[in-house]
Amino acid sequence: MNFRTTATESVQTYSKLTVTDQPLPLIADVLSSFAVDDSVIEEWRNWLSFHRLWGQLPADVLTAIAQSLQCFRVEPQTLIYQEGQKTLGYTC
Amino acid sequence: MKWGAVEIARRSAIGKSLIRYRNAGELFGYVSLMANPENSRHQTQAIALTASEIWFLPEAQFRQLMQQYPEMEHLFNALLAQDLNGFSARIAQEQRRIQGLQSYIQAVPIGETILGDSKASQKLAEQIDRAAATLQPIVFQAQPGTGKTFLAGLIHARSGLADQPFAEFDCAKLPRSDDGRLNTDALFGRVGEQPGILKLLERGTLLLTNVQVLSGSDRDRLIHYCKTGGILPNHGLNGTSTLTNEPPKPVQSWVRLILAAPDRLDLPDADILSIRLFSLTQRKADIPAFALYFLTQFCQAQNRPLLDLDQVDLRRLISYDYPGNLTELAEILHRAVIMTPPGQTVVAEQALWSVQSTKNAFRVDLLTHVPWLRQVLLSRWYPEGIWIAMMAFFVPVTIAGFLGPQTRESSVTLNLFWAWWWPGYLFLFVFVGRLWCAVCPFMITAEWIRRFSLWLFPRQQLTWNTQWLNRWGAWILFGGFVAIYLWEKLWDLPHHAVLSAWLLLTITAGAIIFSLIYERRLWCRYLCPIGGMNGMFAKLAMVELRSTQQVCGSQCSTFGCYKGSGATPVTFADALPREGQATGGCPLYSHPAQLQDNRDCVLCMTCLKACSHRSVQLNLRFPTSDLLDNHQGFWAEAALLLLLFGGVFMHHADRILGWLGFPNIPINADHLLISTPIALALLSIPAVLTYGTHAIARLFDPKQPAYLTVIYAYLPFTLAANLTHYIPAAVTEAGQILPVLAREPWALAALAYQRSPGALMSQCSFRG
Repeated sequence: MNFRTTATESVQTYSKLTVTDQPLPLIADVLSSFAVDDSVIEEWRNWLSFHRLWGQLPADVLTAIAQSLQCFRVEPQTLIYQEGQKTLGYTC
Repeated sequence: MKWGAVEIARRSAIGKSLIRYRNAGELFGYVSLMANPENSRHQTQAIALTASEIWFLPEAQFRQLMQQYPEMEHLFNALLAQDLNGFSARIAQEQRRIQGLQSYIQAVPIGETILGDSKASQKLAEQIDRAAATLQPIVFQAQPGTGKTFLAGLIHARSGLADQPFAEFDCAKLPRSDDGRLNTDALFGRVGEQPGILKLLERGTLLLTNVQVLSGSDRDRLIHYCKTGGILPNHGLNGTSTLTNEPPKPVQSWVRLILAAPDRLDLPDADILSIRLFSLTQRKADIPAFALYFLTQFCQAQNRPLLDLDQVDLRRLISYDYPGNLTELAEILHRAVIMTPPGQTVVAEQALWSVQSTKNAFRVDLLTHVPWLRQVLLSRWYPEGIWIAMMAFFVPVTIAGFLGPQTRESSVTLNLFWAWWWPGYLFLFVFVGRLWCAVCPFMITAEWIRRFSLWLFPRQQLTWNTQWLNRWGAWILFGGFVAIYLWEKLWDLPHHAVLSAWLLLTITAGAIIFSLIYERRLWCRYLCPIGGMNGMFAKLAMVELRSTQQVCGSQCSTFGCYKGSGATPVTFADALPREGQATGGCPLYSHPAQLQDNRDCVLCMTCLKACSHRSVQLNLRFPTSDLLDNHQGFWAEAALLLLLFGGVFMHHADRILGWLGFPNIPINADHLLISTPIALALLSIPAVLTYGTHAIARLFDPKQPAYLTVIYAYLPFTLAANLTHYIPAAVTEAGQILPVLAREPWALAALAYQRSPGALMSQCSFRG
């Protein structure tokens, strides 16, 4: 079967199912209502500090970014955002 | 993204184009934020390819942080610069891709379904649904024009690849090199020169048609692709090998392949879903649905109201064999829409001029071209109204044979029998075939007595032992005719009214006996000597009753014309009130679609009345057409033919015996011992002569057709010889019917009564 074989890229790159879910911006409303623990923010900040791009920023910037971040997980084939959608991130 | 994989893509002219992938640790979704700070919208879409964890920075916070920490802006500017390079390369690649694919991209059928409700369509619909649910490669075994492109598109549209491009590639159009080999560069690509369609397509569905023209090694490459997703492109420069002789590196793509070939493709070791597409001939029941679909499309394209197809049009369409399958049907209807003048609401039969079943070649359907004829034949007066008139003649004429004068000059029975009926109905065979049997007084008597007996003693009549009757019935009938001939000649029936009346009565008795015992008209089909002769001579007729086999096979589920059924609803628009009547089925147990010749059809029109699909045709054709179109003769009928031919020799026994030097040998009932063998010998003359002639001909030319085939060539000659014998009586005596009638005692009595004083008195008082 031509679709189930390992590709030269590191991931499978074809869509198997019709995408129905769209976590953004809907999920952002839910996420923003949860208070994030300081220890988690600290963990995120640490991760960012080792990142090849974010790691170039000063520690205070990273702390500010980590405090603004919201984390969510998606399943395969989830439509994260679509063409023409506003970038606001929140329902208006 | 902390972990996972995301695909960034956007809509394009060929479906969906991949922009790039984002993997763990990479950022995405920021380009639109940076490009348009006021009212930013995503220009792409992002779909998670695997389970992913995403850290999301809302727009408001993002902008706030950017303002607060300008370092962030530098970082994102650097990112955008990197992206710009990547995007430029990708856009250039995409343009090349779209250009390369342009001639192969096919429209995807949106919202379409598989037309028709035949079993073939239902099976196909199931197979298409099953194929769409997986991404397995597919093989179509499909003749040209069976709808490969549409069905492949339908599978694509219903599959998970729906937002990817769908392309079709015809392997038969690949160019050939001087040595005759196919140049498959356009399919597999050539290293360093051109990408093949598999690589250009990247993702989506590719229908490869005419795969059978590919060589074994090319097919192996396709199987390899199906198994691994790796394309094995052609080596180096066209026509030469690479310097290093290294095998080219596989190129990876994720295209679903649908391979199509007219015959079964042998693809060993490949996990492939195989779908056989039925030809249109195998889906006759779906032709009305396809026709309506195409008509709707073409009428819309021509901006005119939807044209209808009447039953004659449909019968034509269904009876045709369509070597070009659906494509041909579409072309036919396209042409018909163009040919139909504006203002007409129904496609004229003439517009379907190219659609002609071979069985209808050189035939004109009288029911279509003479519309009142259909109404007459559907009416309840046909044939049962004629039965009453027939019996009004038959009964007194038969009685007159017993009670009236016995000489030829004064017997109405003999005059009507030998000067009217027998020559007249021999003459009519060429025109109306076996029509006599539909109004035959022997059968009418039997039918009426059967109905009366069933009313009196309701019972289930016996069924026919068809196998036995098919084998022996015609020989019994032949024996009956030999007996009639001997009776006629030795007892001189044409000159003895009572004997002629007994002959009529004997045949009627046979019909009555078998009608009382067996269902339908067993006597008429298998045993009646007159019926046997009628069936044989009816093959010479210039009319035939047939039905359209394809309409009966694909549209009818009741078979009321054969089995008998209650009234069947008629759904077509211009149906007459008496179509789809309740009938008992064909009295001779013939199905009009199965008739190979006129032998077993009495033109009673039971099938016409029962048919709710207007499948029955009453064709005008060339006389003797039955003998010309794959005629199947059989020995008992050939024997009857020779007997009827021999009858002419027997009737001229005196002349023949005179020629042979025996003018004084008596041929009559007083000298049975000598007369019978001589009569039989005279009856055998045609058999001996024709068989001898054929044997001699075969000595000279062993490829001569078999005697059983050749003998039917004498059928028109046999009819002509019989007419020659009987017509003089018609010419000289038929005109004497009124004087003969006047000589009948009851006529004389009526005349005497009219001239009597009492009768004159009553006439005067009536006038007064």
